[in-house]
Amino acid sequence: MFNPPQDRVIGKRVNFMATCLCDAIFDDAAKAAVEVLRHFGAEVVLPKDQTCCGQPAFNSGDFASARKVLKSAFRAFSENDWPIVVPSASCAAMLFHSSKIAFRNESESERAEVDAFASRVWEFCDYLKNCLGVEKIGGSFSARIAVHNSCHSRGTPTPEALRSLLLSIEGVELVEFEGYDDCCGFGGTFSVVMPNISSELGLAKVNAISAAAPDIITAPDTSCLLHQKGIADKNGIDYPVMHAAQIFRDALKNGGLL
Amino acid sequence: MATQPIDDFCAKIKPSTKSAVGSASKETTAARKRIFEAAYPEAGKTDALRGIANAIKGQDLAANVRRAAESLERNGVKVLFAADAMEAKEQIAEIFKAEGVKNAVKVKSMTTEEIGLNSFLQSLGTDIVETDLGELIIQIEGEGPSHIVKPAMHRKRDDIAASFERHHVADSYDDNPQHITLNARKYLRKKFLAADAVITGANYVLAKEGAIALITNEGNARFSMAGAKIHIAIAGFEKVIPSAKELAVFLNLLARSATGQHSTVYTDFVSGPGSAKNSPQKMYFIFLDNGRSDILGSEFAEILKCMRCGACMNRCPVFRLISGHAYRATYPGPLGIVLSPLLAGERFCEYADLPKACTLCGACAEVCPAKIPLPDLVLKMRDLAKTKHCKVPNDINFAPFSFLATRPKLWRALVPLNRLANFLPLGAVKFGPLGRWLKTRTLPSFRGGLFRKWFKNG
Ligand code: SF4
Repeated sequence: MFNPPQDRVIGKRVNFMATCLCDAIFDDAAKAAVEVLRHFGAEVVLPKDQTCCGQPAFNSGDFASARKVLKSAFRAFSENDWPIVVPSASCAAMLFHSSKIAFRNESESERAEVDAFASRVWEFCDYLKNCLGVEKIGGSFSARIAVHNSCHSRGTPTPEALRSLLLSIEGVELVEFEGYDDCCGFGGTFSVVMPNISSELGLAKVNAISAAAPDIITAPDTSCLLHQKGIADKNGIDYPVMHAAQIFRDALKNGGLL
Repeated sequence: MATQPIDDFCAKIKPSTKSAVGSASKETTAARKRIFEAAYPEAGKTDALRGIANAIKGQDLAANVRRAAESLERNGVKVLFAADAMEAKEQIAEIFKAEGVKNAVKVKSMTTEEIGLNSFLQSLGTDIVETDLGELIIQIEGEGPSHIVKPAMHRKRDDIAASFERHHVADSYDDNPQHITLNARKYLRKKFLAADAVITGANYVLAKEGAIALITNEGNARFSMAGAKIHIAIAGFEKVIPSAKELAVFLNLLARSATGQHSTVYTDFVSGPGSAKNSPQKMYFIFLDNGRSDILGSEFAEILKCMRCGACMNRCPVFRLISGHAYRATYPGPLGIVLSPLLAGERFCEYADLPKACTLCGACAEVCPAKIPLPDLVLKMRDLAKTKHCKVPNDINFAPFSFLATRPKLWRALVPLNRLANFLPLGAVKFGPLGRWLKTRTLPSFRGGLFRKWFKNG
């Protein structure tokens, strides 16, 4: 569905795109991602002019604003042509799939620029497994974990990569829950445009996951977790969330590998 | 705070409606999955078939429609073209007048819902009765369908039984499902026999053969033909496919996607008026445009490949929660939020909030048998609404955001300041996007710029 381009740029030297949410809120998820990338041999740079992928404006139908923000991202990452690793399935999908829709009526040269940029973008778990070739995270992490796939990973290699990497950690047990591939109702700006629908879907998701009594809920995205956690808190439901990168990092630390 | 009609609908929906729609749609999605896995256990086969369906529907539609019209005429069918809903209704009324039709029966057709045929014919004094059980259930209550395949999906058994009693379809209250069906059958039998004419849609129009395919579970299409003297079929011109050969692809997809059956109980082919005495002596076919030509020439052409299976709405988290009536239009769910505003033509903006009723989760696109990229179309619809300057409730102005996000220096300076917000009583905000967020959720603590700081020092 949100399939990444066929021939993506590969390499061990990478740009890290923190995403606006990690820049503003989830600093530890971004930190963890960088530590894990480095542990597995990637050389990571952080282009300082990065801001956001433009997704909030794009999903709201404001394509003109989204294009401006995307162009700013193209500039920010123009110092090299290395892969761009993003610790968010939805920002990755914005950059390698939706960007093409945003620019569909623009000039050929602009569309070529979009395509070139898109082919550099990797979601974090996908990059670890399918570019760096990591099969085993190593270390240990004793927990029953519920995985929320993040809808924007549909059709991408991310869900498979995330599951197999988690299972490569000693002590990890994945718990199943009802409606595992149903949306949690976040939907970016949907959460505030349709607040009743969004909240009700969110609560259903939180309840379905809680019923499986996991120790940790994880996802390849901080945004879905932000929404789920916010709803759980409001309802007094204990709901410990971690970005996948934080679990990988903690596993490595527990094993004395980091 | 501006109200958002769809979101408000969700807040006010009857619990019985919600549970009826929620469970029926989930069950149908599960049945769909099971049956495709049984039919095509090989990985990728279902997907390949969906791809073929998409490609067939992408073939030169205009040429196929011309060919279909010729073939139908050759088979003795009178072919008409209707530019819009009004013209189609007038054509039907004219036929009824010329042929002296007073009583008609109808076989479930979303196209006739789209043009508002029933109320129009009733206003002219015609008795028009729905013969599909689900359609009958809603017709007697004066409701519209809440789902394109299961029009009465929102209704519970007890409430149907009560309605049957109230409207004299049944002599007394009886909520045994078999008895509900039997009562409808008894009631409809009289209507079938009294009907001068039958109106049907067409699931497929076979261009080469000049025939239409009618796909039902109840046999009502075939039964209506037995009594009526006139048959009028009406369908959007996108229902044309090249020939019976291609139909095989669709028959392998449609029932499985729609109801989780390998095949529906009845697949009827009608190729012109009947020669036998007890079949319609005259047949008309109306090709409906009603905005479709415009869609065909636009970037939304893919939506015309829809085969009206309903799988997308069954799978849609939003539809499951709000039911089809929330969409205020004939076609609900992922299909409807793309198609309905487009069909509205000049009144596009009245429906510009529909494409917002989508989390962009992409689940619909995974099940659509025609492989329509629904989420991409939804996004383009939002873009179109913006370009047309439609006013959509709760819409957010992104100018400040894009101003900031395109100025990296300013961004770097401002983002760390969000930590100050941790000391503000933000929980008290009741209005705007933040207020809508906080009504049901807490906020995390802000940690602006801390990652960059760590990276620099690390
Ligand atoms: S859009 Fe696809 S899934 Fe939805 S009704 Fe049409 S064919 Fe079925």
